[in-house]
Amino acid sequence: MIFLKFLRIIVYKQESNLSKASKTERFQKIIEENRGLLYKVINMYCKDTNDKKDLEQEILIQLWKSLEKYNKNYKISTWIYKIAMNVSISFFRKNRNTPTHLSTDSIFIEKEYVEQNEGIRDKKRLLNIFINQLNEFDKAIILLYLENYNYKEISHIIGISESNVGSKINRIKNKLKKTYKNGTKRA
Amino acid sequence: MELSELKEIWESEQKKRLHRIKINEKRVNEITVYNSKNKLEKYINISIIGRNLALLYFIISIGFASKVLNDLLYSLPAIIGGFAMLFSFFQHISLKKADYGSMNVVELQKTIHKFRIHTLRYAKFDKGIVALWLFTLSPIYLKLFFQISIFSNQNHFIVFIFIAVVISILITVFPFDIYKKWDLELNEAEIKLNDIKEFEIE
Repeated sequence: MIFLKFLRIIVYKQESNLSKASKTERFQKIIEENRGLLYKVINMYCKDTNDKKDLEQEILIQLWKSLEKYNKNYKISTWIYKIAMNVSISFFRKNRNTPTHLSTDSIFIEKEYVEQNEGIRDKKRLLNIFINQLNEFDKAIILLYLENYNYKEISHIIGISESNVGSKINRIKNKLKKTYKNGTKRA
Repeated sequence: MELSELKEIWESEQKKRLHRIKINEKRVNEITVYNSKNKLEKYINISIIGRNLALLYFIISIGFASKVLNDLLYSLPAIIGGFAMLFSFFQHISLKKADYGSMNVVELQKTIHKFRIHTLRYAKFDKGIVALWLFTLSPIYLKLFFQISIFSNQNHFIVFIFIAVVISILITVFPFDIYKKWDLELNEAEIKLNDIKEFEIE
């Protein structure tokens, strides 16, 4: 009897190790395939290099913990956006008062790149200035809009009505025009 | 410049970026498989554990009181202390964990700020309940485990009251700036919750 119990424990442990291994493999694949998405969200909400590493960690932990609850009715990118934005906004609000830093590596290995075309470089600079001016919720809306999400999908992720999404995007458009006018005046 | 123009820059930039970035698998494994500590949820988890402990403290009080049930000087205060803990448990029953995977952005932020407001609003009150629980339970503890009957011996009673007063003062004034800090945080959380509500309505 004791031997059988012991055997059962070994089998159970092996099965759980196997499921953990397959979960790890699946997770690595998801992260790899959606690396661009994660990079965008993290860079939109964080400018400081150390803050970014903290945020990367928090997002990955939440994704890892939620993986088993992932609802296949939604696109995997929608699920990742929702978690990444939820964590980023919470992190953004918390870290304005209490920065915490980890001395670790980033989850991204990035090659250095400098844009050669001056026109594109200016527009990119303007785009960054503009996005940085937005509050954390508008940042989330504009990011999803730029990623070609429709109003219905944006409303589902953010939690406001579709018409509200529309009016907020219009407001952001007007703000962009003003920023561009000011930017060109300064230039 | 129009938003559509911005979109074009955005899309071309993202394509280039995908070629430039790779995932550091070793780091991903460190975070997930080796269970790195999650910082964001720490505050919420501690509060929920605290709430559940209140239920345990209630059971402890009732258990201790049942040992000296006939001696009302001991059992009655312990029962009162226990029920204060039970009351505290029910005060915090509405606390729920933030679910980053299923809640939308607005819902999650509202949950977090409501949570902060709730815990900060009841923080002073909870401190008092803990003190009450300790003072009502310790006479039974002293009697059962050290055979010290504070209500039968005047000297013991005086020493107990003295210790109780000192601890009460310490709990009230230490740490000195905590109440101010709680009030400030409460105010900040309320402002943030209002911001979210406004964002929802606009």
